[in-house]
Amino acid sequence: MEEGRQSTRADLVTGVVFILLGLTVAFAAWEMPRFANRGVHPLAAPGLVPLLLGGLLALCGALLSWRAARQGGIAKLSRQTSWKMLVASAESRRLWTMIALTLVYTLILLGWLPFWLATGLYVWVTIVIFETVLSDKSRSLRRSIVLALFQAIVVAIIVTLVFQYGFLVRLP
Amino acid sequence: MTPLSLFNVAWATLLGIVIGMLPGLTATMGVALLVTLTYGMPGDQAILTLICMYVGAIYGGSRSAILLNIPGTPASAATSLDGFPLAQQGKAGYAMGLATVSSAIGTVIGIICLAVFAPLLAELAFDFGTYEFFWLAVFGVVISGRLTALGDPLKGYIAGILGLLVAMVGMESLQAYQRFTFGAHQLSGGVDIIPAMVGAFGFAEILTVMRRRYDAKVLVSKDRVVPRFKDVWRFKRTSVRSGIIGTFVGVVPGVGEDIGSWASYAAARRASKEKEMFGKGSYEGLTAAETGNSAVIPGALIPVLTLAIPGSTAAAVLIAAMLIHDIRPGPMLMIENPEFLYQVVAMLLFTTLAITLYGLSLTKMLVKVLAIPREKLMPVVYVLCVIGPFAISQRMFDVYVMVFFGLAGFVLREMKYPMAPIVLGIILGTLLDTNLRRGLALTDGDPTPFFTRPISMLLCGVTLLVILISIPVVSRALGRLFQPLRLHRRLTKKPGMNDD
Repeated sequence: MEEGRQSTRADLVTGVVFILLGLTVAFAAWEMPRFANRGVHPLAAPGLVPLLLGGLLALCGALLSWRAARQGGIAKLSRQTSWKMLVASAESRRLWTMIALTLVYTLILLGWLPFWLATGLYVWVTIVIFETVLSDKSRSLRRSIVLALFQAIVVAIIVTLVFQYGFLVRLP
Repeated sequence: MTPLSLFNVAWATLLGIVIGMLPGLTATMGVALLVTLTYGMPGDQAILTLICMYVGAIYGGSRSAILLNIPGTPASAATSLDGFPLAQQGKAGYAMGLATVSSAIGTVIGIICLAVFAPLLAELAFDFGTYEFFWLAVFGVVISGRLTALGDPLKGYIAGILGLLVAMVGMESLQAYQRFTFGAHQLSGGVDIIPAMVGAFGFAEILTVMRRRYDAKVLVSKDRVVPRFKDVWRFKRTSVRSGIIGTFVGVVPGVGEDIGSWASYAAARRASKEKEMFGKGSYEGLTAAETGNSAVIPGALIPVLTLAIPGSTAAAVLIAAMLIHDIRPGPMLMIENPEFLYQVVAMLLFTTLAITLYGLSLTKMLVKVLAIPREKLMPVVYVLCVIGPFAISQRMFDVYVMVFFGLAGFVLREMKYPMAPIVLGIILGTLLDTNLRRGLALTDGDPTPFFTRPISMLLCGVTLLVILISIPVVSRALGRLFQPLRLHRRLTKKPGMNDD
């Protein structure tokens, strides 16, 4: 029930997003040069296909919103339950933590620390957090820290050696 | 076949099976990640390795479907319907053995079709010009959008349009104008397909798996693994039918193994004398699902080799890998590199042999892979998702593209948007754009040839029909139109005949 309500509401919102995106793309495509001075036919201009696609996306977005609105999406828009679910449920916490850890690793650690160190740190912290703080099973924190550290060191060394020296791939 | 080739077949197939087994690691993700490792290999060895990964991963998905009731890849969803009940009845080993033999049979049927029909289709493809290639691209995106989102085609079409829009980024080929690059020189070459695929199929999948709170329990297998010949022979018709259906589904652009598996399963159930057993541990159902999904692989390679159009998402990565290794798929392949098709046939045969050997002999060892906790596995997989896109272009920008597509792919999946039309849109966008504008330029703006040339007319008609059928009002009207005919058939049906 909650899932269906969320789906209708999400369809309504994404439909509006697609309308705006489609119209923006179509406008940008319309503004693109047509190269008439080079003798290019107006229908062979670079903006033709993006213009059509933008229009189609806006049309599909309108259909999606209209359908969601008919299913009561507008009335459901004001209900707040699912917004609380976004951070309250265990699954949401797991999701947001994983996103945060991967973003920190990709956007901050890589480039700031050597690859092997950044990778080792990321693997270690992720395993420990998901095995202890975010796990339903009770696990010893000390044991998890030690075992995860061992795995992180092994992964960092093996990945670096295999890719850099085995497959001759440059690492970030 | 050199010792090096055999070595590559051995490790890549085994790796493919392991990746396919692990829930969250799909065949497309495996192939996309392996492109990095094969970057320095000679072209034929690289393609061999990637095909082994592809076949191995699609087959490997059946293991977790049978033992965990979680399909390792979406292609094995139908396998779990009968595979898991068989495992609960203490027949896990036998179910895995039957799945192995069925996968091998499915792949062989697909290989025969590939060897026979690919040259014929390539011959036909020489008649394709600008107008036909435009419609082929439109048809590919539309049919993929329709068939991968059966419950909600509108979302399938939106996914296809989004993919096509992504393909519009970068320098277009006719006037060398940079579209939607916003001054970023990294975007001038367009969005690279490999980072996009690794993100949409790798990172997005990692998020899905890590979000789940519980790990499933693995059932143990202690029974016989090698299936009896009489059981395999008993379902010969089901195998052949499923193999043909799977191959046909594979040929259809961007549809993929999961649809092949479900279509074969549904056809087998309809034709079976033991319909009531389906879903409760039917050997026939298991045979149909596994034969069907494996037959899709060679089928998906038919349009790849002849038209450069992917039959599945993993096949889309194969196209990108072929281009990296200077192998140009499409109609000209048969002229430039005529033996390549038969090399691919040989590669598929060796892989089939490898999955049969591994599947029937390494049952207990492979089961241990399923015991790896995802908390320990997924961070390592994410590291590989970072290395993959970086290794090809040596740019962090491609890693950021991977992250963007991962997050966007996750959100779209959560809202039930299929991924395959997006991939197909990215692959076919340039083909559609270039051929539409070139065609209009050739005729000075007259669109008539797009609708009057025979193949164009056919493709246009089928595309419009697919779109019309997906409109609820039209499909209901068609249903009402055919209702009297169905009623008449039912009333005149001979007693004892089944029509489910």
